[in-house]
Amino acid sequence: MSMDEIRSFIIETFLFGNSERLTDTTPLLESHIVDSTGILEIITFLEDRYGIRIEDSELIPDNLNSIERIASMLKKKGVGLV
Amino acid sequence: MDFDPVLVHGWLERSSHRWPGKTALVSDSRRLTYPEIDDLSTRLAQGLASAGVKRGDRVVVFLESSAEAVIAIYGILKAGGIFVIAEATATASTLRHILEDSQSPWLITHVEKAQIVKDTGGGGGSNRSFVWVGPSDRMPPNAGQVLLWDRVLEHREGTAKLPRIVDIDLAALIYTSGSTGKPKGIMCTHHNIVSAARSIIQYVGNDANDVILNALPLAFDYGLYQIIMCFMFGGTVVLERSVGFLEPLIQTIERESITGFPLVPSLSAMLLRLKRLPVERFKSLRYVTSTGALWPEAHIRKFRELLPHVKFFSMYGLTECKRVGFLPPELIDEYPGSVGGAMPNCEVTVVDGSGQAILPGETGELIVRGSNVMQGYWNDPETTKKVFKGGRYPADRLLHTGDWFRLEDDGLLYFVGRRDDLIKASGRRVSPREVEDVVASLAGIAEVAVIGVPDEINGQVIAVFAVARKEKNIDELGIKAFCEKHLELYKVPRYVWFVDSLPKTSNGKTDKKRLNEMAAVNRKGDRLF
Repeated sequence: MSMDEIRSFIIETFLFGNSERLTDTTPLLESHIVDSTGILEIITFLEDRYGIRIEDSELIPDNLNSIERIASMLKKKGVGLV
Repeated sequence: MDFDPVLVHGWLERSSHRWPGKTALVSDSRRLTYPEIDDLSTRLAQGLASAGVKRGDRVVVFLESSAEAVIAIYGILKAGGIFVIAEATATASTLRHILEDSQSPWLITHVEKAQIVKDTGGGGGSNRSFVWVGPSDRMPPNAGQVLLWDRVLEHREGTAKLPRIVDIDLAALIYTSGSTGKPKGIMCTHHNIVSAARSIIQYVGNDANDVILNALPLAFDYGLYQIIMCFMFGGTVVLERSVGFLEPLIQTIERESITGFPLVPSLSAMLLRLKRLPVERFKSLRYVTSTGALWPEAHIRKFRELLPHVKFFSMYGLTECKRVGFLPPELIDEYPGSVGGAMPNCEVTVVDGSGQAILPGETGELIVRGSNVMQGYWNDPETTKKVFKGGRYPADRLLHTGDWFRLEDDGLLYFVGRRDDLIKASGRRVSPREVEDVVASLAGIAEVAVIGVPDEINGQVIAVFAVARKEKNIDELGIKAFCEKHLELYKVPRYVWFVDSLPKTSNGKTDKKRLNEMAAVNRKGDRLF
């Protein structure tokens, strides 16, 4: 896993290449980069790509609302940073 | 004798007298009582009136779903103004359209939105006046009048005389999309709003014990009325800014002992996507409502099975009359595909092409009569005449919904489809024309047509058929990226398909029926319902 990989997924899926609005700490929902459906897409991507399971109780902003937070959640789940 | 208030804000004042200690609103970590909201909105009204807001002036509110937004709505009304809510996710071009179309001399917004406001071109140079929420050091310079929210609300004693208004005065313009062109402002009087709200409160059976979880945008009438209705029956409304994260939402249900939960089908789909819906945490729930798009039967059945103690109201309406009908919850297991019949104080007929009432079993256009039928579209008498038609006497108006329904023997209504090609994405109306105009403005596009295609979560999503100019280089990503910059998220196309030419009907119009068939073929293999 690398932060770049998550960043690329978000830029390709939701911003279609417009990367100027997105930093590692940009709050994804509040900045209207993704909506609630987008959060579901991110979860599906993370589960499929890294073979992890994100529990219902983990669906909180602290785990998912920015690239940095996603990376730190993945780290906690034992997904190694490259 | 104590008569019921006739003005929207009259109900806030009454609830403030009736329930002086009661929490009316919970937002972020703030809890405000009825007298607090009543007092703060009066201070805002005094500030606005002193600064020159007059009876009938439009005031645009561009804020996140928050206590400030609620206070702004009631403050504007008390000042005799007409509130206009721009959705919190609006792009600069949508906001500019709303400001210009509504001819609003005032904008109430937050310093965090200063960039979008600036991008409308209506910032520093214009004579528009502002009320800025947030720290004053982040307030952009401006030529018109500027009020600071915090300072206005500090003043306890206002001196400006607030105007006297009557219930046929306009209270709000609610902007919503039609099948063509830009969003239109639906004119709502105090009487329309109070009437519609009263009918809904009646069939939902709300009382002061209800605690409503409102995660819907306030620019959407469904979200707005949660506040208006709650302030009428003296309950508590809890604002949640987003439904993106379900765990905090469920925590709120538990913590606040939520009794009423208004849903749109997309939120219902998300809840059912959880690995396990934690039913034990929904004990306080008394009822769930759904409107905005067709509620899939499978979802209704699943919810009924998981939460048997909850009443489920499947409803139908359109902003032009707020709400039309509902299916009584005791019928939902037997008739989950129906949206029921007319709500109290509202009358519906289903007519054929010549305006004659159809026979049961047939399909026709739904016509609505009642005090809930709004006044038409702001600044658009042409469209108003086509949709709001005259009845038997001057004040009698018939709303032609453009929605096709089948009426069954038992009087229940079943939604069949739209007369035009209006799209409903995540419960919100999207004009195909608005998206077409944005895509067509790209240099590489020769021709474009936009349709809505079914989606499990959103009801519908946007699909674009484009014909590219030979000499120009344009691809799917280019179109999506351009739309992402110029349209709100729910209007951005999910699908872009290039074709050599668009199919045409015999009279030369784009054949959208054929496009729907082509879309279905293109998406074969995609997971649908």
